[in-house]
Amino acid sequence: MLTWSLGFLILMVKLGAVLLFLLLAAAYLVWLERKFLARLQVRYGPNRAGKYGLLQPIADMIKMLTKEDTIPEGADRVIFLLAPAVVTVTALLMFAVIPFGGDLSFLGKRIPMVIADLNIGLLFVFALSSLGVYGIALGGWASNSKYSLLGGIRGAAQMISYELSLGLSLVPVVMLAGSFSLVDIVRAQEAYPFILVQPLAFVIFVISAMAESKRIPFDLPEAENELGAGYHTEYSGIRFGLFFLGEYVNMQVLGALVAVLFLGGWSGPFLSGPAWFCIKILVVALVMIWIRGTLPRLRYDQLMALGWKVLIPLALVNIVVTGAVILI
Amino acid sequence: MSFLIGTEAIAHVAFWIVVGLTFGGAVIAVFPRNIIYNVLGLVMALSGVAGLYLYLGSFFIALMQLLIYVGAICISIVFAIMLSRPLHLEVPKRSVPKVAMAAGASAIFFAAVVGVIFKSNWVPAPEQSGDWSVVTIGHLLLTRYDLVFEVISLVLLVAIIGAIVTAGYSRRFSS
Amino acid sequence: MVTLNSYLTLSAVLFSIGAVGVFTQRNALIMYMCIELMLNAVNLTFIAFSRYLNDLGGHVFVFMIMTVAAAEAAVGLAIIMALFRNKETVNVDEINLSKG
Repeated sequence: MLTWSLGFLILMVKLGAVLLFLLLAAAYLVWLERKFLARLQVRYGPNRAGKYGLLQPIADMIKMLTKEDTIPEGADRVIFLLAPAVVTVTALLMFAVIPFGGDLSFLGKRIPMVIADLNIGLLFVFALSSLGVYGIALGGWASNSKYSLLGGIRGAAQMISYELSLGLSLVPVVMLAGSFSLVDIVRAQEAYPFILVQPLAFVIFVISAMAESKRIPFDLPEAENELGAGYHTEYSGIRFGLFFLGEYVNMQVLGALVAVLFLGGWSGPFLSGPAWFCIKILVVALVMIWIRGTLPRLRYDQLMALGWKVLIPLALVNIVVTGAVILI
Repeated sequence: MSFLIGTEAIAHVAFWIVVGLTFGGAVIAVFPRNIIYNVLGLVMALSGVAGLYLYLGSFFIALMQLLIYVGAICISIVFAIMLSRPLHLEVPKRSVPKVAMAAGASAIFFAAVVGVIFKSNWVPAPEQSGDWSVVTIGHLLLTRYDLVFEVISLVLLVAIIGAIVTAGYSRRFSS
Repeated sequence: MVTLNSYLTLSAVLFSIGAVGVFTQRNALIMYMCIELMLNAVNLTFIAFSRYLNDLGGHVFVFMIMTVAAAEAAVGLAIIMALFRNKETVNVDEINLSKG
C-alpha cells in the first residue's frame, strides 16, 4: 500500500513538474522568438517590461486573461468554445511519453524521468498529433467566417498531407532502434546519434514537422495577408491564448522529438541528462525561429507538391534502402 | 487493502464512463440533423471504443483505432463536408412510420443477438498467456497470417488508384 | 467484473444503433458513418473474443477490418464527392443515375 501511494505521489509530482516546465517554457519561447526575430530584422524587440523585456510574457498573459471572450454571431457555440482546448490538450499530452533524462534514484527506488514509458510511445505521439487537426478544422468551421473556414480547410489538408511523410520518415529510425518506445530509441543511440546514419530521414522529419506545427514557410492556414489570421480570426482573449499556447507547446514537442529521435535524447558529455535535453530542444527552437526569419511562405500548390511528390517518395525510398542495409 | 479497492472502483467508473461515451457518441452520430454533429458523435463513439480496447488490454489496437478511425477516416469525412457543403442542403423530412419500422427491425435483431449471446455456453481458453505485444502481432502478420497482410496491401493499392481515378473523372465531368 | 457477455451485449447495442441510422438516414455521408459504427461493433466482438479465447487471430482480423475501412473511406468519399459535383445532392433517394 505504501508503494502504491508513493508511486501515485511520484506520478503527480512528475505531472506537475512537466506541466509547469512546459507552460513556463512556452511563455519564454514567445519572448525568445520575438527577441531573436527582432535582432534578425535589426529591431530591438520587446524591451519595456522589465530588463530586456523579460516580464513581457507575464504582461501578455495578464492581457489575454483579462480581455473579453467574444463569440461571433452565428457561430456554433459548443464547438467554438471547445476547439482551442483540443489544440492545447493534444499538444500537452504528447509530453507524457517523452523522456527528459535517464533513471533517477530516490529513496532506493529507480524513477524513470518520463511520465509513462509506453512500449508504443511513438504511435501515441502520432495518434495525438492526428487528433490536433480537429481543433484547427472545427475551430475554423465553427467561427462562421469565410477567413476562418478557409484557414480551417487549409490547415486540415496540410496536416493530413504532412502526417504521412512525418510517419514514413520515422520508420527507418524505428527499424534501427527495434522499438517504438522513445526511451529505447534514446538508448539505441548511445554509440552515435541517428542523425549521422539517417540524415535524409532527419531532413524529411524536420520539414514535415514544421508543416505540422504550421510555422512560417508553411503558415498557410493563418496567412495574415490573405486570411486575416486564418482559423483563429474570430477568437479573442484566453481562447486565442490557448491556440497560441498550443502552437508554442507544439514547437517544444517538435524540438523534443527531434532531440529524442535524431540527436541522442538526454545523452551528452559533462552536463546532466535533463540539461542536455533542454539545450537540444532550445537549439531546434532557435533554428526554427531562424528559418521563420529567413524563408518566405510557400504557395498552396507548392506546399502540396512538396509533400506528395517529394517528401513521401523520398521517405519510401529511404525505408527501402535502410531495410536493405539492415538485411545485408 | 482499501487502496486496492479504490483502484478497482476507479477502473470500474472509468469503464462506465467509456461505455457512456460510446453510446452517447453513437446516438449523437445517428440522430441529429446537423451533419457536423453526426461526425463529432462518431468521433466520440470511436474514441469510446478505443477506451474499451484499452480496458481489454489491447493498447496497440486502441492506438490504431485512434490513429486510423479518429485521426484519418473522421478527419477526411470532416474535410469532405467542408469541401462539398452538404451542410446547407435541405434535409428531407423524416417520416414517423419509417423511423418506427427501422427501430422495430433493429430491436428485433438486437433481441435475437442478445438471445444467442446468453443462450450460448462460451468456453474460455484454458490458459491466459500474457503475450499481446506488438512484436507478437507483427510476427503473426508475417508468418501465420501473411495472406491477410498481402490482401491488405493489395486492397490499399487498389483503393489508392480507385480514389485517384474517381476524383479525377468527376472533375473532368463537372467542368 | 466485466464478462464476455457484457462486451458482446455492448457491441450488439452499438450495432443496432448503427443499423437504425442506416435505415432512417438518407444522406449518403451519414449512412456511411453509420456503417463505420457497425464495423466498430464487430471489431469490438473480435477483440473481446480474442481475449477470451486467448488467440491473437482476432487482433489480426481487426487490423484487416481497420485497413479495409480506411480504403473504404478513400473510395467511398471520392464517390460521394463525385456524386455531389454531378448531381448537387448526397441524398441516396435522388441518386438514380443508372435508371434508364
